Amino acid sequence: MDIETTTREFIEKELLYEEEGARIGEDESLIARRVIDSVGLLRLVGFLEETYSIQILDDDLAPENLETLRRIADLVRRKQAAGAR
Amino acid sequence: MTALTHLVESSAARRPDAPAVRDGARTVRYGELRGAVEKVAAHLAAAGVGAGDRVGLLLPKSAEAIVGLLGAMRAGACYVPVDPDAPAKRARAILKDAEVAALVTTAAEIARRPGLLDGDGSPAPRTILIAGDEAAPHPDAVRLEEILRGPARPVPPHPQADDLAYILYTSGSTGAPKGVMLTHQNALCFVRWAADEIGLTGSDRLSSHAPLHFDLSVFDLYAAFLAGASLHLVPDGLSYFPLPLARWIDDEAITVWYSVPSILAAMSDRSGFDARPKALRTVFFAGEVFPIGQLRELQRRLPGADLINLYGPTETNVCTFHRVEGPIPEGRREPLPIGAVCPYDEALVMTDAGAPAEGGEEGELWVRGESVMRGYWNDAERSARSLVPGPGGGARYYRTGDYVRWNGPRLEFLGRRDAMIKSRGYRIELGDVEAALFDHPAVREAAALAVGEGGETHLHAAVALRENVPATPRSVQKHCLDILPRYMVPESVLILPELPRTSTGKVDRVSLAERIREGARTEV
Repeated sequence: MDIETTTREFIEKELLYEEEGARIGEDESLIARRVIDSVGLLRLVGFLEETYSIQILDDDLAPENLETLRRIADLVRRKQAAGAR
Repeated sequence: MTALTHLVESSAARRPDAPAVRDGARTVRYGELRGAVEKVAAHLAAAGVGAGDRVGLLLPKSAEAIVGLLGAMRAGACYVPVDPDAPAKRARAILKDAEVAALVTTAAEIARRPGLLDGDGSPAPRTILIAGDEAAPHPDAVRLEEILRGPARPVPPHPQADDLAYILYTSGSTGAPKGVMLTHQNALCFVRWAADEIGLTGSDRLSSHAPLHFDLSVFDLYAAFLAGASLHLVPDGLSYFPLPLARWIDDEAITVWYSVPSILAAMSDRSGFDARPKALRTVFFAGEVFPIGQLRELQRRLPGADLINLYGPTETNVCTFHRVEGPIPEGRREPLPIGAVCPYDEALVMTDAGAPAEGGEEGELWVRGESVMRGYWNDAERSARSLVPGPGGGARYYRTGDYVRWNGPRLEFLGRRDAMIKSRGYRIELGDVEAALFDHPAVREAAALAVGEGGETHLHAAVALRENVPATPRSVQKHCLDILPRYMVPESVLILPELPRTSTGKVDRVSLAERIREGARTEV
């Protein structure tokens, strides 16, 4: 499964406090959908680090990297590419 | 000027082109703001909403939300801000309890909460104002934008000083929401004093970090409008990202910041203030005790900025303050005093024996004066329990439930009455335990909790650690043992990646206690 799908499934199952079956679009703001709060952000980062064996630093914690599924997938790919080098 | 609504009007008359509210890329100037507020007020008045009514606000903070709440007051009503992150049930319970005559919201907020507008027998709002770009989802709803595009209409008179300005719902330790009723005068006396205390002018730029349902927002909004300064809304969600938030403070050239301590600590702890925000001159904090080590670090990173602790439950507004003077010495463990009583209020320290404290005796803080609430909405019984006559008669005092003592002219905060637990006959102050936890080099966030288990109260702790500083529950307990008497050392230490927080940014003690209780059950 690609990064977008895997992450989407994690968020929809674990972090989205809406009705069963609610979906998140690739460019939808996770802040506006109330997925990202102090605890949600930490759980999301923990999931990404564990699933993709990457390290997300304090410097990476910014809406530019984490606000949407597309940005998250881009961040993971950048981290993986940097790790492989 | 006797009402909060006069503030915008007088700043608009003096400097119509000065920026009033900055919301992302959008700037609303004072002249525009005044016009928008009057149109909303006229719309509400035409719908029969006015003096004595409540107007609910259920939407993320935005320039439109601010126009909505000012419009509600301008029509003579008071506003009731509801946490947009609140679950549907709580939001509905608050709107129902307040019996709102009008509601300012967005289409998305309504869509997220099916059944929100089913009154369950209570009268439905007479009009619903929809902010944002989406179409009105309800037959009684009007888009705010349409009202603002419409013609100016006659506006009702301003409210009076003693009229209610807003009702803030807070959760007590029990979690049941109660509505704190505050008047224009309650807010104005504090706002005028605070603006004067820091010499606020029209060239200041104030942050608006606290959500509208949290009373810290009262300073942000009305001090800015009093001075004709600009109010800069922290973008939604940016609070969860300390480094970008610190950059935002610099980019917006914020001069006065106000928030709970944990947000400031997160920024300075993660080196967000490595580059000092150049314009920042005053930092207010309130809502929780600032762990002294973290405050020292903040002071080191913001040289030249005034650091001021404000204290006061929602019921009294801010009633004491303390300006940090001189560098905080290394190794100090005692927290800051909550400080001197603000000039519009009077304080009394009442001992458990029911007599005013003498010298440095401990007791409960009682406060009366211009900033103290009128009472709890729809709850005369609770109001009577909380607002009590003093020994010499006169106006009633609000019983804060906080233990304090005088140290000269200053008050020292000792802890919550309900944070005081008895264990094997010893009285334990949870704040003292927390101070010891924070003293551990690995601890970034900490809470000491009294957890009832089978009729007994036990002391536990939950902490979050700094990155790359190892610690175990045992090492944290051992550290406490070095500082505290044995009976004050937590029985267990739960290590979490981050402590859960309520929507106002305070540690969510109810959910932490629940987790500890569950943990205890699963271990058995």
